[in-house]
Amino acid sequence: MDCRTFRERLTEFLDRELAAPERSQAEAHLSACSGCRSEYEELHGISKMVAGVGRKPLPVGFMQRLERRRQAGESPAPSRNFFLLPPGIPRYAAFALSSLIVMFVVMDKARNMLQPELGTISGVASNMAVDAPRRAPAAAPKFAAAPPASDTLSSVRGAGGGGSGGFAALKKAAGGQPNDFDRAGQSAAGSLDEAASRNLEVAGARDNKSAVESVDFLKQKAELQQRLVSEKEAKDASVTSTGKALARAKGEPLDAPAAAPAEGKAKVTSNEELIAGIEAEKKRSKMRIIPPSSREERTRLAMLSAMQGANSASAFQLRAQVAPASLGPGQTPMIIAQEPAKVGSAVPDLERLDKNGKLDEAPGVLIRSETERRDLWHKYEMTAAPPKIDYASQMLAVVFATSPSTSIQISRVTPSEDRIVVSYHELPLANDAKALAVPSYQFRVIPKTEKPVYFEKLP
Amino acid sequence: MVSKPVSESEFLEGNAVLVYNLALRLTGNASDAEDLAQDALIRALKALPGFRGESSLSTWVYRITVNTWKNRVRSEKRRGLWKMVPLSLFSGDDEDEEPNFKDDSKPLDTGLETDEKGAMVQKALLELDPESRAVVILREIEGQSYQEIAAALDIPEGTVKSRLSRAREALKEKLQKYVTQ
Repeated sequence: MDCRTFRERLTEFLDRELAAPERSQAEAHLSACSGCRSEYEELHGISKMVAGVGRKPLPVGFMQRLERRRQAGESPAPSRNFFLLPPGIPRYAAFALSSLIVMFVVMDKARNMLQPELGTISGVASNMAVDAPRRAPAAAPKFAAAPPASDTLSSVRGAGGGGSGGFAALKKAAGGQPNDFDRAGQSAAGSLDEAASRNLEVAGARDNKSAVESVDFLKQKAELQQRLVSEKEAKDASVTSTGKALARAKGEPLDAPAAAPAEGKAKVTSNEELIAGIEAEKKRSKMRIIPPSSREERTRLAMLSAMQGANSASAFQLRAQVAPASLGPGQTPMIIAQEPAKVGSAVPDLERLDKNGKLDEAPGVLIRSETERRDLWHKYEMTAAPPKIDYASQMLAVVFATSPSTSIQISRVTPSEDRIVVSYHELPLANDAKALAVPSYQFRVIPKTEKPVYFEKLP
Repeated sequence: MVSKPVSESEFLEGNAVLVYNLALRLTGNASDAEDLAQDALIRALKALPGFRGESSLSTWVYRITVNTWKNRVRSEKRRGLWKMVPLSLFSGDDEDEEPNFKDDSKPLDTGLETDEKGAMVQKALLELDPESRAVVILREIEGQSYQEIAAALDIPEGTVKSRLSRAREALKEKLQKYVTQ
């Protein structure tokens, strides 16, 4: 075998895919030719190096997430027949159709930019912004300069950018007075930012149902933000100067307070219009299914999904109560009372989960049957091995952390005549520990009882 | 040849990790890999009752994974059209925004490989063209024969050899300095 033939066969020789006679010839050549041996050794080294990366284990919770997707009936990514065209329709026809759709959508978005309509989710943000002067007209007359904000939100949404981009552009729309604008519009801009961010989550929702629920959530959140903004503006005396700053930003005279409230009112949409806008956004969101592309986004969607799950399964509610004085000397921490013996109680109240994934109180949960236990483990992808429980005489108390950056340590369980108290510490995670997508938890087997069980957070 | 029916749990036990690892090396990104692997496994589970054992189960599932990945790549390319539309078209002002058109190649997941060599291998794999990448992964990491790779990718064995040969030359250029260390 000569060098040329050897080089041609090198890949097969390396992979032991050469038939016996050729292999012997190649081995003979290899021992005789230093140049080919060098080439072989180089490629062999590369091959070993690539093989050396080896296999990785499945990520924690992979199988549970797979099962959940299967149960949800989620269809895999679109197949090759992307346009769902019957056989016989040529691809160029499909391409022409898609081009038309793209053109239509782009024109639609461009039209939205030129003529911002309040009948969409952008309208929520505008409405929030203009609501302040409506309720406190003397305070911030120029705060009604909302159309740029609406435009910005639309542009952020249209181009798929981030919420922070919306805020940056919003500041710019104030005309280079970012500090004044920050003070005046912090709440409203925050709401807008939130709305933009939440809106993107809507776009990223994996199925239509969750997208629609996200819009409902947004609506509730927007209403709350609206109320907060107006209350804050009414109390805050500094808004007058901020209104002037905004007026300067718009290049309008400072002494035109009379016209401003009217302008604000003129741009306020009615509730009917707002609801119509939300309905329109629901329809839009069905058309904009974008799979999550980053771990961060997936985590956010998981949180959103958990919140929606809690909303829909709201038969159970945890209630915060003040600790009874007789609990013990020196023990006056927050107590979360668990209503005893409710069927389907294995659902922490995650409605209190805010956008940072924090809960204002750590929910405690009682598990009284294997079905409840399995549901909870499945719902929150809990990976800890479940304990052996005799549900005839025992039950399980589970405590969740209030934040992704804390962990739970149950320190003791104290039964008394009229209650059982589960006492726990909530400890910060070590600095190098990664934030958890699912709240940390700990559980303890406790004697079965019909008495109320209290979850006591120790300082 | 008709093989013994395989239950879903048996199938997942033996193949989920294969699919995930193939997906991981194809995408170079743990998050995308999980999505891809789950899509492929859902497809495979749906098709499992019809599996008649014409090839080995692993070859069959590799084929499903690679096809799912190819569909995604096509779909990403379609979406890439959108990425070419500058943000300024919508906002009229893009000074504060980052450019919205990016290279289609996936970012390297820095957490995927902890050592420098591993990271360089993954980076070099991602720089290969998709067809060659699939061949190299199936051969070097998954240890499949030429015949199995040909069956998994639905290409002739000769194409497997030529792609592998070219890919190794490309990898040699990128990784040679690490081999000698």
